[in-house]
Amino acid sequence: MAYNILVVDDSSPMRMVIRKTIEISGFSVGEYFDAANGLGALEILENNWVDLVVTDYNMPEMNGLELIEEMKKNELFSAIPIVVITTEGSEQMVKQFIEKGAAGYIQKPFTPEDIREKLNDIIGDTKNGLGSTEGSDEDLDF
Amino acid sequence: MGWEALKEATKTSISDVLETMFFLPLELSESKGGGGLSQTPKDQLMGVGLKFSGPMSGEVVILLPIKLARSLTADFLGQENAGVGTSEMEGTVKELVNMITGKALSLFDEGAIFKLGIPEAAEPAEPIDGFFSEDDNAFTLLFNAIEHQLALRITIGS
Repeated sequence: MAYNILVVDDSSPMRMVIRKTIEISGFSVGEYFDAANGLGALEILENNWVDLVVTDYNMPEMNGLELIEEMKKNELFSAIPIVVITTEGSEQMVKQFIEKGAAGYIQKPFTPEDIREKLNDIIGDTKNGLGSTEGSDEDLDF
Repeated sequence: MGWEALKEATKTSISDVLETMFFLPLELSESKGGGGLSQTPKDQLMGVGLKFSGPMSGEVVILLPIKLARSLTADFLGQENAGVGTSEMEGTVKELVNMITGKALSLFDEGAIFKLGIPEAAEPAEPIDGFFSEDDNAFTLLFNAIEHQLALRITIGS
C-alpha cells in the first residue's frame, strides 16, 4: 500500500529533502503534498486524502504545534498520524508535541534511517518493499 | 555562562549537521583571524543570520563563499551545481543556520526552550576582520571544508 504524505515546512529546500529522504528510506509514497505552514496544510487536508503528516515546528502564520491542535479538533483529520521533524530538542518541547497528539518526533539533522525507523513505528513495516504499490489497494472515495 | 561549553556545543552541531545532511566533513581551522575567508571579496560571500531568545538571547551568523553555498545546496538537494538557483542557495543556507543553531542550543542546555527567529540575509560589517574578533560577548569559529572555509559567529545578548 502506498501512503499519501503531506510535508509541512517553511523551508522549500527542506521540504524537498524530507520528501527525498522518505523515498530513499524505502517508504512507499503514493501522492505527495507540501505546504509552507499550518494554514496551507489544513487547506490541503480539506481537499485531499492524506495518510501521514510530517511537520516542522517553527513556521510563520501557524506553527507545527498549532497545526497538531487544529487537526486533533477536526474529526476528519484527528486520526491522521503526525510526525514532527524539527530543530527543537528540549524535553519540554518534545513532551508538548506528544501531549498535543504527535505520533512521533525526529530532530534535525536526520538520516534516512531515522525517518525509516520512525515511520516504521508509526505506520508499519516498510522493509523489503512492504507497503509498495504492488498488489491491490483499497480505493477510498473521498 | 559556560562559554567553552557553548563553543563545544557549536562545534559539535556544525560538524553533525554538515556531515549528516550535507555530506561535508569539516575541520576546525587553526588559522588566526579569518584565514582565507577574510581575504575573499565581499561580493563572493554569503551571510545568513538568525536571532534566538530564551534563557539567553543572541544571534548566530554564518559566512561562507557563494561557491561553497552552491555546492552545499547541490549536495543537499541532490542536484548538479549548475542547476542551483539563487533562491535555492539562500533557502538552503537559511535552513543550515537554523539546524546548526537549534542543535547547538539543545546540546548546550538540553532542558531549556529557546525560540529561534527567522533566518535572514546578513552582511558582515566592514572591515570584515571584525567578524572574526573575539570578546566577552562573541566568538567566531572558522572551519576548513575541502577547498573553502566557512565561519560561524555567535553573539550573546544582541
